[in-house]
Amino acid sequence: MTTATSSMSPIQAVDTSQDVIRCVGLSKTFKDFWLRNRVRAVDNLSLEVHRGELFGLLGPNGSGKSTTIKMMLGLLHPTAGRISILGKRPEDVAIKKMIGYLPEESYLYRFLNARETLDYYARLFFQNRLQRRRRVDMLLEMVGLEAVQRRPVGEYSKGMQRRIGLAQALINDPHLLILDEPTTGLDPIGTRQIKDLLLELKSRGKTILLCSHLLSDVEDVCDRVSIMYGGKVRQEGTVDQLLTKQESTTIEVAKLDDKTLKEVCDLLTSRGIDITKVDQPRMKLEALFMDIVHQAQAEGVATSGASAGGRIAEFLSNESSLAVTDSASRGQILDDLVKVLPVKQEPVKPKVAAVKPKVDNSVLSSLTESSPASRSTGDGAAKPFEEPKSSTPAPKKPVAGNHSVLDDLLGGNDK
Amino acid sequence: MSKPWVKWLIVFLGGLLLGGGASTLLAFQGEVVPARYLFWATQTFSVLWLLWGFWKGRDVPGMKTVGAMVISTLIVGALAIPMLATSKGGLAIVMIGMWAMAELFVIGLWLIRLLLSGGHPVLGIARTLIDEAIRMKIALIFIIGVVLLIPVLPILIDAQERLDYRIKFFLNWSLGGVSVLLSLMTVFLVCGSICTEIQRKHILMTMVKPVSRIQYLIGKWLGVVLLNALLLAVSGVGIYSLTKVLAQQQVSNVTTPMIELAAVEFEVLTARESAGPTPADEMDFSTELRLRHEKLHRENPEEYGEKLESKQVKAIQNRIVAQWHAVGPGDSQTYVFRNLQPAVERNIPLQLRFKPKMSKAPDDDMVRMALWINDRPYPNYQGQHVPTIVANDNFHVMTIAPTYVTAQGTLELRIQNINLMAPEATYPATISFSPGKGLEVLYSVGGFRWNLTRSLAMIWVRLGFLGILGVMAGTFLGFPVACLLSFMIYFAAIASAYLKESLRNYAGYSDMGMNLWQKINVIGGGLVENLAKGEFWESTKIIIRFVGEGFISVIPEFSTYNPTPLVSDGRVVSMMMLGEATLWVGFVSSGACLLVAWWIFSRRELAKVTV
Repeated sequence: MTTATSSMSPIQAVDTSQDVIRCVGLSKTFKDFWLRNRVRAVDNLSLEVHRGELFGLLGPNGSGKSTTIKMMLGLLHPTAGRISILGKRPEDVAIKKMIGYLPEESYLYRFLNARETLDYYARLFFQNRLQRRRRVDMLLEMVGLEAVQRRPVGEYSKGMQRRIGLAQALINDPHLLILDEPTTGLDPIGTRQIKDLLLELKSRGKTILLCSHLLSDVEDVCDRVSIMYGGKVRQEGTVDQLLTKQESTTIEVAKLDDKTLKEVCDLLTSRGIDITKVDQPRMKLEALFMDIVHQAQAEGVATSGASAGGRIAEFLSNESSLAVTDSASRGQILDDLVKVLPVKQEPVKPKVAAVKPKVDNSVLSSLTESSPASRSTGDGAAKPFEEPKSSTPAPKKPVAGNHSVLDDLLGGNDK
Repeated sequence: MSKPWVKWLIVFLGGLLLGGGASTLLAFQGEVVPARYLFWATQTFSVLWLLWGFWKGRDVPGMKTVGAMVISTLIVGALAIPMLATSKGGLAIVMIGMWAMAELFVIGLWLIRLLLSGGHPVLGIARTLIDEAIRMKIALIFIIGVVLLIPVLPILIDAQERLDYRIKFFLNWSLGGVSVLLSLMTVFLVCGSICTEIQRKHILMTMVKPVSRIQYLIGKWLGVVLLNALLLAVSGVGIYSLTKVLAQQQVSNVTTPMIELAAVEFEVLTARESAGPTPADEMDFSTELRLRHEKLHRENPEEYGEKLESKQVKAIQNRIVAQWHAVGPGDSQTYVFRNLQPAVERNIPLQLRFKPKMSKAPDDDMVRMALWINDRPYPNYQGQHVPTIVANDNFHVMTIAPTYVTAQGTLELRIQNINLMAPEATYPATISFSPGKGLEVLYSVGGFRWNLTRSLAMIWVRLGFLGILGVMAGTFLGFPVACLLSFMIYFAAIASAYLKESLRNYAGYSDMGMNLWQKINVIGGGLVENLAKGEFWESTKIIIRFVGEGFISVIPEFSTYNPTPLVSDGRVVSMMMLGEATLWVGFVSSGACLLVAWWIFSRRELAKVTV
C-alpha cells in the first residue's frame, strides 16, 4: 500500500528528468464476463511527454486516448508495458499531489455547490482552511462562476460543469495537467479561454497533456501531438512538422486590385511557378463570434450563466521560480533550467521563412508600397486568459500539410 | 464603516433593553397595565425585527438555517405553550419533542461539519458523505423517521395501561425503532454512496488525488459513524426527556398509585444487576449427570454408550436443570444467589423476581408457597411466618432487605410447595420456574440515564459494524446486491444464537471440543457413511450445517449485545458488556471487514469496463 507523504516538498518529490510521462510498450486489453480477451484498447504504445511541454493526444472516439490516460492515473492496470509519471509508478499516491486531471466528463457531486466542490477537492490535497478559501476564491473568479457559486452543481449546464471541472484540476497547482476533452460542451468563449489558459500555464512551465478529438483545439495550442488510431500511435511530432506543406507558399497582403493581381500572376507564371489558388482570406468564425460577445460585454448586457473568466489564479506557480526557491542544489537548478528552457523557448520558424521562393525583389517592393499600412487585428485590449505577447511568434499553421491521417480521422477520404 | 448586521443588532438589543427596562420600571411603580402593554409591544417589536433581519440577510450563507430554527421556535412556542395548559397537552409534548430533536440535530450537524473541516482526505470524504445523507432523499427519509418516531410514540400508548408498562412499551419501541431505522439508513447510505460513485464514476475524480484506497473507505465509514452518533445522541435526548415526561403522567389505578410509581422507579427507571440461582453444592449437577448416564446406559446401552454425544449430554442437562427449578407437592428446594456484595455495600434493597407456574392450578389460580431466606421464615410479621400466595404464571417482585445477604454476598432461598397444605386441596401440583428469568435476584447498580447512554453506545457500536459491512459490500457489488448482502449478514448476526442451535439440530453429528481438522474428519466420515447408505439428503444436511456454522463463526453475535430489552426491563447494560461489544464487534469484526474491503478495493480497477 502506498500513502501520501505530506512532508515531502513538491519539488523534492518530482523527478527532474526530461520526461514527465513515459510509456513503454503499453497495452490494455479489456475482457468480457468470461474473462476472454475482447477489446485491445491500447496496443504496444510508447509515448514521452517532456517537461514544460503542451502535448496533444489526438484520435477519434475509441482510439484508446482515455484508456491511456486512465492507465497513467492508476485507474486502470496495464495488461503489458510500463508507465512512469514524474519518475514514479502511477499507483504511487504521493505523486498524485503533482497531477491535475480533468476527465472526459465532469463527474461531480450533484448535491454540492461550486464552492463546496472545490473545497472538497482541496481537502484531498491536505490544504488548510485558509489556503482552501484563498484558492477557491481565485479559481471561481478565474473560471467565471463566482456569481453562481452557491448553486448545486447538478443544476449547472454542461459548460459550467466543465469550468468547475477545470478549476478542480488546478486546485493543487499541478506540475502535470492531464485534460481529457477539456472544451467539450463549452461555448466558443469558454473554448477560447481554456486555450488561452493552457498557453498561459505552459508559459509558467507546467506540463500539459491534452487529449482531444477536436483538431482545431489541439492545433492551436499544442507543441507536439501524437495521433492515435486503434490503440496505436500512427504519427507523432511537432505540429509544424506534421502540418507544414513544404511544397507550397502563402503570401498574405492587403487586398489587391485586379490589375496588380494579374501582374503578380503573370510574373509568377513567367517564372514557371504554377498558381494553384488565388483567394481572399476569410475571418475565422471564432474570431467573429468573440468580437460580437466582447462588444455585448462592453455594453453591459446581463447573462444568468457563467460570466467571462477573470485573471489567472495567482497561486498557480511558475515552475522555474519554484524550483529556484525550493531546490537545495544549485547544480540541480541549472539542470532544471537547462532542461526546461529549451522546451519552452523552442523557436518556431515563421512560415514565410520556411520556403524561399525565387521572386523578384522589385515586385515585392511594389506590392508593399501599393498596399494599406496594415490589416486590423482587433482592438488589442487585454482579454481574460489572453496569451501574453511573446517574442516567439505564435505558430500560424497553413491549412494544408501532411493530412493523410487527419483526413482519415475526419473521413476526408470518403468524400 | 459599520456593517449592516451590526446596526441591526444594535437596534435589536437596544429595543429589547429599552422596552424591557421601561416596562420593569413601570411595573415597580405599580403601573401594571401600561407595563404589560409595553412588555408585549417590546416582544412584538423584537419578533418582527428578528424576522426582518432574517429576510434582509437571506442570501448570507447559513442564514436560511438560522432563520428556519428561530421561526420554528417561535411557531412551536406560540402553539405548544397554550396547549400545555389545556387537554391537548399530549400533542404539545409531541410538538415540543419534534422541535427539540430537529433543533438538536441541526446544531449537532453544524458541530460535526466543524469537526470535519480540517484539511485531510478522510475528513473531506466523511463530510461529503454527511452532506450526501442530508441532501439526497434516501437517507433523509430515515432521519426524518427517527425525529418523528420518538415524539409520536407516547400518544400511541394506551393511557389505561399501568404506568410502568407504558414506559416499558415506550422504551422498547423507541430504542428498537431507532435501532432499526438507523440500521436501514446506514446500509442504504453507505452502499448507495460507494456503489453510485463507482457506477457514475465520481470516484475517478477522488482517486486521482493523493487519496489512498484505505483512506477513501475509512472516510465513508467515518461519515456514517458520525452521523449515527449524532442521530443516536438526538434520539437519546428525546427518549430520556419523554420518558421523564411519561413518568410524571397519571397512574392507571389511582387507588394504589404507590405500587405503580414504585414499579416505575425500582423496576424500570433503574439499572439492575441480576443473579441467578445456583445449587448449594456445585458438584450436584455433575454427580446427577453421571448417575443418570449410568442408569440410561444400563437400561439402553445401544443408544447411550460409554461416552455420551453432545446432543445427549445437553438433553440430560436440560432435564436436570428443569427438575431443579421445580418443587414438588410438599417438597422444598434450596437456591443460592451469589455475588451480591454490591447491594450490601450500597445498602440497597434487593428484589426477588419470580414467575411460578403450576400446570394444575387451584380454582383461584393462585400459587401457595412458603419461603425461607437464610433459614429464616420470610415474610415474617410479628413472629408469624406468612405464606406467599401469588397469581399463577405471572411475574412477581418481592423486596428483600440487604441485611439478609451474608458477609460472603450470598442469599439462600428455600421454597416449599405448600399447595397440599390447604384443607380443601385436591390439586397436588408441582411449582416450576423457567430457567433464566423465571427466578432471580435483582439489585440496583446505577441510574436510568447512564444505562440509556451505555445502551445507545452499544447500538452505535453495532451500527459501526453495519457501516463497515456496507462499505465492504459496496467495494465489489452493485447497490441492490450490496444492500442484500449487508442485511443478510446483519440479520444472521441478530439471530446467530438461534441459527447455531437450529443448525446443530438440523444435522446431527457430535463435534464438541473438536478442532477444525477433527471436525473435517468427522464430517467427511459422516458424508461417506450416508452416501454409502444412499442417504443423499442426510449428506446434504451435513454440508449445509458445516457451511452455515462456518458462516456464523465469522459474524458477530448481535443477540448477545442487544441492549433494548435490558433497558426497558430496568436491567443494567454494564461497562463490561459495552467493552466486550466494542472489542468483538467494534474492533475484531469491524476490523476484519475493513481488511477484506481494503483487500478487494485496492485491487479493483475503478475505470474498468466489461465488454
